[in-house]
Amino acid sequence: MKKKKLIITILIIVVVAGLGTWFGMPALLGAMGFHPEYEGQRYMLPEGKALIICTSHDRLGEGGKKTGVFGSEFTAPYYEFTDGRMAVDVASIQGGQIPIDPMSFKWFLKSEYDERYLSDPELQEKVEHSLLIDGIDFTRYNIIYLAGGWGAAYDLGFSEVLGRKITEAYAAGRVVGGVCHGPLGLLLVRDKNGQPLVKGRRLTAVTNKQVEELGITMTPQHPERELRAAGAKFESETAFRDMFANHTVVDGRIVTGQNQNAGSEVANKMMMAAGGTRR
Amino acid sequence: MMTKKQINSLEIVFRILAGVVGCIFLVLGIGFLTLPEVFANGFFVEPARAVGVNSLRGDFGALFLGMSFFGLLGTLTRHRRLLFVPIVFLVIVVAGRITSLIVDDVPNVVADSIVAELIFITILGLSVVASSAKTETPDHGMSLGEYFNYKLVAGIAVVIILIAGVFMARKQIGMKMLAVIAAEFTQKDVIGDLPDGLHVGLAGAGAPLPDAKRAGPCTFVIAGKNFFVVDAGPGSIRQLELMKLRLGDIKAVLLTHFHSDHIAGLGELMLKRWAGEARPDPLPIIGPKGVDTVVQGFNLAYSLDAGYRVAHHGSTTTPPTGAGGVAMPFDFSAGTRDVVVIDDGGVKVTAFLVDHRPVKPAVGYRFAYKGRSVVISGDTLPCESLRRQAAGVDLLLHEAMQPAMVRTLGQLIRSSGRNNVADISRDILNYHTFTEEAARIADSAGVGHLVLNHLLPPLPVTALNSAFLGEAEKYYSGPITVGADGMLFSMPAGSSRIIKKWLL
Repeated sequence: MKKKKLIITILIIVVVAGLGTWFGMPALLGAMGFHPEYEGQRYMLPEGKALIICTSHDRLGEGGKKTGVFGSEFTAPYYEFTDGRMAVDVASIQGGQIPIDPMSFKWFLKSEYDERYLSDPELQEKVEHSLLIDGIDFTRYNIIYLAGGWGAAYDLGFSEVLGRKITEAYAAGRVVGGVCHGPLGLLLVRDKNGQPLVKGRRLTAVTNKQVEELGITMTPQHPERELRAAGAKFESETAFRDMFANHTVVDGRIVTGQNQNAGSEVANKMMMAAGGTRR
Repeated sequence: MMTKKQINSLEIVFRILAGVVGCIFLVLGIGFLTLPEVFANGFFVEPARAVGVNSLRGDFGALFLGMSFFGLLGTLTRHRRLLFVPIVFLVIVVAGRITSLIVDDVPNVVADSIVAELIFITILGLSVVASSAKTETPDHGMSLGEYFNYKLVAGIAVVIILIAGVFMARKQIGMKMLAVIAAEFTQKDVIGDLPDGLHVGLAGAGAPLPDAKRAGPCTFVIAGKNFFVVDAGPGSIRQLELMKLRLGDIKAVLLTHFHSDHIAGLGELMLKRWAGEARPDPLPIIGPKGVDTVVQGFNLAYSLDAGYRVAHHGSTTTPPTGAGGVAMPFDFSAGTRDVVVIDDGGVKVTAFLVDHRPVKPAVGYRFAYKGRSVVISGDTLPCESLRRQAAGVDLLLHEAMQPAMVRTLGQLIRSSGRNNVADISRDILNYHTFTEEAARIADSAGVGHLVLNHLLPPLPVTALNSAFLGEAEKYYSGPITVGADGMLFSMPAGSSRIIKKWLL
């Protein structure tokens, strides 16, 4: 009899603890500032086009852990652009299958945008067969958005093609930007005088502090370090862990977000900068 | 303590009252069995096709006849505890009604039903109590023989004869009922009964997809005694008539744009207004550039019909000059996005450009009368000119689409292989306003009440409403109504109240 009682008690504790973790963990992360719900003004750009560019690099170092683009950094802007009535294309440095950081869709980390992606065959198809940037005329898009993730530290800042294409788009009056490691893709972009675009411009990206806190320092480029070195006026917020901080900067037609928390806000501010209207 | 005599007389009183309750149920039961639609109307139940009538006769009839059977048996025999059967039923009915009061958007008339049911429960309950106080010894087991006596047989025979009688007299009953129903339609003066003010009614809260509760887009506005109709969607003209409005009184029709779902009822409306009151003047149809093409087409299509009417009824009843409609186009002067299209007798109607590209022009309307105002969005994306016009209005009637529902529907359609329909359902996402966006517009414009119409997807059952609203209530703290045909929003002059009524 006593044994039975004990078993029942243990069962109840396990169930309660399990449910508590299941519901509590995402709620706790949310309360700390991870993937905050965007409550600001939303914008739309009907008949406009946006291009989301992701990394094609899928490993942390030689034979290291799998990585790629961080999920919400392309899902959040994709759906904000789509809800903003834009047509959205997805491209990558090498085209084809885009690697996604396996951490992105862990149950305690995934955002509402990620949920939507996981049940959306259309976007899954676009990620599976992403466009190769080389064949795209960037000036056909109103918005060029660069997604981050650790993979981006290996290719966005080194692609001459990407640098040239964004240079053309910016010169044609388009809005450019991105979040987290995405702004590395602006390093090789030139303004109309042939100067580095980021020089003297206000922008943000993932901080050295966040890179160190997460202990992933083996990547070849760290956004804060490279952007400061290129002469950008780097801004950021901080928190007891920087992955919970959120910051967005609009400098003319350059819109950047500090990390994965800024995807939806950056998307909306890009639509605003591109002449969008309130929705 | 009461004396035995008092208890006895009290017991008789409750026994009689319980008998009356049983008889009421008997009448209702026989009623549902024999004249289901009439009784259903009294209970605001709309039978869905023939199967619905079958359920009314069967299920509703059984509920009331069952309650009546046990109620009367309990009253007529000494087994008063049988009254617990109708009591249990009634308690469940009340619980159901209260749930509905909380969950559904129902008018307050159901409160009366709840009160009646509570009274019935009390009577039946007290009858049981009084009877157990009278007999010291409790009921012993029931024997079948006690129930199936001559009284029961006689009772059942009477009931059967009553039912047979109603069936046999159904022709006479039908003629009598015609008079009753017709009187309601012919004598009712909906507009005359309204207080002075601005009134907005929904005769078509739907969109192109069929919705049992919503005809194609059609809204009517009554400003004082002036009767205007905005858009004439398919099926909506019949809704106007069922709402007992006299179409001969219509001053003008205003069109927001020329999509088929907003103009399909125009021919019927022109005809009904003309023939309704021997109008010598054609129906004024106000709209942006393009309205002349639409009116020309309808006039041509209905010209043969008009000829037949004149030939048949004569030119006094159907004056030939009154047939059809006359286009009254308006235009926006360069650089402006709004224009006053009616300013007469205290009624001011402003048309403003909205964003329904590639449909150009597309407009919304703002009606103002004696300090009350309403904005009707027409079909549009979220739009700054609408926000400006809606600033501070009492009522905002905005089109709304729930994208998550439309996407799900689109996926289901695609998986069934109907790719063309799926493509269309994807395309419509680009030129309508999301439910949440309508709420944000209502909030930033500071309107008093948000009513959603042109609903996409269709919401044939109220259970879909909260999914349709999504996060809307988070963005707008005022009242939000998911529109359905038959609703009327009354805004009396000199007050800030908005009274919601049902005309269907």
